[in-house]
Amino acid sequence: MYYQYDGSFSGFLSVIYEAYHDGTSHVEGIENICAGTNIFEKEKKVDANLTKADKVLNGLYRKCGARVAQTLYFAFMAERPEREMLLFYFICAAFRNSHMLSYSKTDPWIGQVENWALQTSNERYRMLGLLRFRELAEGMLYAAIRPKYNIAPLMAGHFAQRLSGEEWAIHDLGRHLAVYYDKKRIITTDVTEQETNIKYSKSEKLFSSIWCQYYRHISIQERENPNLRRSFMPEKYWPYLTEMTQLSEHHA
Amino acid sequence: MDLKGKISILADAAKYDVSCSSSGSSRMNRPGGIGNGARSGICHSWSADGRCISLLKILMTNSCIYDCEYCVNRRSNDTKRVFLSPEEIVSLTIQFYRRNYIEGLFLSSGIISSPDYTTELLLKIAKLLRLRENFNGYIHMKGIPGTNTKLLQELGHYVDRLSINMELPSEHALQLLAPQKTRSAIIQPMKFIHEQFVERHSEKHLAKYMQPFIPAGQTTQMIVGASGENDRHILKLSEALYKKMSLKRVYYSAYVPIMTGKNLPAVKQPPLLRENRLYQADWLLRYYHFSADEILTDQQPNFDLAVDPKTNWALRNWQLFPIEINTAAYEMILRIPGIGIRSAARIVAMRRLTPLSYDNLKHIGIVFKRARHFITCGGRYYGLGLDDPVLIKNILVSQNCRKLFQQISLFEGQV
Repeated sequence: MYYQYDGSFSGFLSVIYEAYHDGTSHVEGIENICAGTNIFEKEKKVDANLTKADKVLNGLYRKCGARVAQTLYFAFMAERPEREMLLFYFICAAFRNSHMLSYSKTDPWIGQVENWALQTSNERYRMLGLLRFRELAEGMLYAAIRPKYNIAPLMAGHFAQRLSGEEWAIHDLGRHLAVYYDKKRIITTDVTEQETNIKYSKSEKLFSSIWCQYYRHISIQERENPNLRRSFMPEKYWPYLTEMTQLSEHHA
Repeated sequence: MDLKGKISILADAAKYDVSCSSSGSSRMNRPGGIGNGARSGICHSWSADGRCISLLKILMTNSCIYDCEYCVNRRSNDTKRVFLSPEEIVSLTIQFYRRNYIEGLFLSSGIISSPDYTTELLLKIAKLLRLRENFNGYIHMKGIPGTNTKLLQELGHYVDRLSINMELPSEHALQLLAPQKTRSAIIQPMKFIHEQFVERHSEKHLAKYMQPFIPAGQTTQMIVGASGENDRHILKLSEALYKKMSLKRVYYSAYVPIMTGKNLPAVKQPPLLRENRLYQADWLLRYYHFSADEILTDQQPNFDLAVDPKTNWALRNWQLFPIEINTAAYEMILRIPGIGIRSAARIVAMRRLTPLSYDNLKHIGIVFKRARHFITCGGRYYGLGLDDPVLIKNILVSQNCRKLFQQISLFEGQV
């Protein structure tokens, strides 16, 4: 049996629910409807169903613990094209022998899933520091990022705790996805239209220029080491960093 | 002078402070407040010298009544003196924090009129941030030697980390280069904070809630290369500080020759490689169950700059190797060059299920290139020779490092 889902995490979990209902041995493939065309005969289209998804995730959480559930979520968010069957295998292995999973990294497939989760988690952690908010004219904070993995929803909790009294939005430019916080809830939405005319607040220019000034003066000239800086802060992130963009403008 | 000009001068004056970590505090945000602590710390940027920027590291003022020879802010140095008012510091911190530039504030200061007066000003800033602005991010402040312990205790309730700089590794060097500071004035407040920790720890079970007191602990910093101490002396001092004062970190700062003075050594470049070796040894002390006496002996009181301290120890204790990965104790696996804490833990966890093979070992995350000379896996040895440690050493010193080492040995007499 081939399963089709809508590409969302809850959609994927609903597929897992159905697969367990039909018998896991019948699963031949799981495909993302947005990515592939249907060339197979025996397909089953599964709609995202929150109650079913919750059941799977809660079951995994209760049986194997928070770490395994998080590994699954993070590995899914790495958005590898071949992820579905490997994650399915991972879930089956987790349900079958939950207490052995942490030792079975010698299994290459489980090792692969763990590796995806680690990569997502690393980029998320780095981005928690490298994200830069700018204050808009209405007082909202706005950050634009272009990460490799789908980490914007994963970062939302961190900033909701930290800036709980602020209104903010994180915009993933590559995925046309935005996470918005309105002082109460986190809302994830698709961004269809690109806003071209962004108005920043009056104080924004002052504070970002002070920050750039500070950034330039905090480095010790005698110890300059551009390679070390690049290894910590790869150049692909520079276009979205206040201190790096304004620095190059300054030199130009 | 405008804020931008002041920031340039005061950031320049603060940059020689090494510490910029924001770890150790998991302070929660309060309703209506801003900020929280991240236990592991978060780096927000890296400056051109490759050092991480996680806190707004700045001096309150660079005017100072002391005349320490190595310091840019010494009284006799002819430089522009500026002062940031508490309100300016508070607004900068909050505005930077909102934009996710920083993880918190690291405030230090030159000493104006007296240590107590300066600490009172620092305390005022900490109170403004915590009580008026409801700021719950990270605050690291410098303890100033000679401050009244009552003031330090009050400051401790508002900040996450307090650090008092050792400045120089010996009393003699202190007399020579920083004549107004004494060893006892530095050690005493450190001891006081440590005693507070011990006391609070013993009373922990008595109260449901206790006002936090420096949750991220205390640290210190010393300058390496400005005075004549050997590495063993410095490392023994750090070990004593970790054991007796339960410090979180000792920072080492390679002496940067920015000032000239009759008691200062004439070096052309800061001893960066030596600083690096000290940090490596420091890690061995804190995480790898090494003691200072094992890392550096009386016969060899200075680091071999060509290889790292762990490899150096392994080569000196060649009779202990090779170590069998599948049976050795965790503490022994930690001592193998090329294997870190994470991979050691992973090896111990994985071998419970199945004996590790060469293939497993390759994918476990160890530096196999280095570790292979020191281990056997299932009884097989993959290294290049068990007879002669000198041979192994020659292999391990990379081409790159060899070049660097030659450059450094040119200056060796002066460092």
